[in-house]
Amino acid sequence: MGINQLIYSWTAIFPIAVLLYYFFRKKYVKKSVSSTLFWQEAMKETKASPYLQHLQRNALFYLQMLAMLLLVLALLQPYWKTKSIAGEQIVFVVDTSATMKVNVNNATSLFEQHRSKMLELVEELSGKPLTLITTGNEPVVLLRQEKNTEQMIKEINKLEISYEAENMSKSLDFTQSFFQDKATSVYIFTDDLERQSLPLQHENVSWNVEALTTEVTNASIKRFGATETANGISTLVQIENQSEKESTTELTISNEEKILVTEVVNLPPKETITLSFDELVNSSYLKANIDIQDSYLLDNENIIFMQDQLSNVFIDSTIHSLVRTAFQSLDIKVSSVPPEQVGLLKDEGMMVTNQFGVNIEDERPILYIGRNDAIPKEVNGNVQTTESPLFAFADLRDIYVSSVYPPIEGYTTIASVGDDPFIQTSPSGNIIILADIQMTDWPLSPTFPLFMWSVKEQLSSGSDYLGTFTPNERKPLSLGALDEWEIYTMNDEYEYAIENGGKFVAPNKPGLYVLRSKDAEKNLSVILPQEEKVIEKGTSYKVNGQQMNAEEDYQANSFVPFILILLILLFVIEWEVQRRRGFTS
Amino acid sequence: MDLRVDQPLWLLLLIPIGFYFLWTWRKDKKIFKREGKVVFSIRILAILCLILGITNPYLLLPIKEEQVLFLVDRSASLQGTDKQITEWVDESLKSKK
Repeated sequence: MGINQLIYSWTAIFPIAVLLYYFFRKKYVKKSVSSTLFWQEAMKETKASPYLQHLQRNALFYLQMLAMLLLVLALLQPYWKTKSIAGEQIVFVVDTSATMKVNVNNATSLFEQHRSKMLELVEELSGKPLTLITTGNEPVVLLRQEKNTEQMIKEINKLEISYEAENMSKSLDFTQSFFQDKATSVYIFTDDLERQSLPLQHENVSWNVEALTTEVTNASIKRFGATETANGISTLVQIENQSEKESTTELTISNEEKILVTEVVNLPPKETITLSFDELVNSSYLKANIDIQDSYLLDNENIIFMQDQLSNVFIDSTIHSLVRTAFQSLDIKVSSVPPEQVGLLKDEGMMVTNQFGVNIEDERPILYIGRNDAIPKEVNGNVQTTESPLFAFADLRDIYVSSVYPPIEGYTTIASVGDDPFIQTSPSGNIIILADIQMTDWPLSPTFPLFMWSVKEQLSSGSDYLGTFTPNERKPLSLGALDEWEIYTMNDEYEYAIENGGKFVAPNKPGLYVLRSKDAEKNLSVILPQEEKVIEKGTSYKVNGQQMNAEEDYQANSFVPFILILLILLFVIEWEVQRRRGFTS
Repeated sequence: MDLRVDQPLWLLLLIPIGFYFLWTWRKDKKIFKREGKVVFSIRILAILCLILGITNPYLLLPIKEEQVLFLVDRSASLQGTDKQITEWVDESLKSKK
């Protein structure tokens, strides 16, 4: 209990003034008694229940005094105290990784449990600013020093799991930029966070970690891989039991149509078992599923596509080494091939060569740089390009080309120097640059590796599989710069649209997705990051900075609204009394 | 500029109280003298103020200040420009109000 504005106590002179005014009023009420016969009656009347009569007669006075005293009290702004969160500002760090989906009490997920805890804490803020940060590869600030409680509740209710790995250290670094030397209480809502990973060097910061405190059971498909062999598909499944109890589950592997394998698997506690299955029917994708009622359901399913992305690039060793460097700078696996083996190579991958005449396996995508079967001629002029996805990221206008090889009949020209074709594409999709790298100054330009990347993306996109992504992964894709692409789930539910491949962000929920534009369709899969397949019980704890006294803070709740309600009631009653009495006296 | 109330639900109190005063006005209109009318209007004003008081009204004024962030690239390619950057930031801080 306390009083906020003691200064206003001077207003007490108003009720005192009213009191004094009443003192000077005449004490007796004149009453005419028409006959002495009634005198006795009249005297009796004054003696019967004197208190009540007194009250009745002076009702207005008492009501007015009470109203005035209450008004004075309201001006003093009395309050009572309740406990509140310590510090000048509060920061919530909310882990939105997939593991937060773990069920704690059969029905509610850890995330929901944290959400209600957050809403509880918001009530105790007592007007202190709240900053709300969600974790992930890119930590996001949802509220910045917000003081409006409604806004906070709205944002907290809107929080969603983003499924990506939490990257807690990144988020904590980010959080520290909000301290600004103010006394801060940080609340971290996560599943498990070690004390060592907290930046404890701040003296006026207290850390509160809300973790997963209940025991959970979890079995997880750790790895699921498949390769195509001559006799069908061989797969390998790794299942991990993370709980202390032994459990039995049924593993099923299915493709788009039917179930291929069912096997009952016994999982010893805290162990990983590996199973392999051979000679499965050829399918476009495979799905592994364990039928177990554990606390964490997301890692009980895993999907792989059978068409894999081209990952290897083979370069003819006669090609200039800068081409090789360009590919290597893009983190692409590059192998050198002696010129005489170019036509014989069996491994899957893209080929870079200048042996135009050599008959290379049909299926293989090829980038020709120069031609060894023709003689170049000198050219003069600027490079002009057509609108092709190959040039979406690489602008070739500033490149100098000294000479080009003769063009190939039937191929489409997509770039030319003056009037002579410079880059062509074959009907089957192969790409030919009609100049040796030495004939140009191209490697000096930053567009060179970008073009090589576009070529690789273009040649490998012959397949309709874009690859595997982690949730919300950002990756530029060479889809063609002009089209709009829409992302659907496998059940044909619309997710969102992207303008071009350069702005591609994978969906957040693990599963299979289809990317559609006007005339093309591509598949992609989103899988949980490996670290999101492990759930461990953590502990909730609190670390106080040296200058933080956590118990000291209280929140003031005002009495004023209650007093005001009482006053309204009093005013109405007073009016009624006055009305009945009339205004003459 | 905006006038807002925190708890608009309290404004519902106006309905029963409004009815009550309307009723007393109808009933006592004839016997009210000038004095009575003045008291009546003051009373209504007082009650209106009290109800508005419960709803916790506040004025929303636009903030004219702006937050300015300086982001400094300190990668190797900008080595040696530290002094220039500091001078630039100092210069801009001078115009801070």
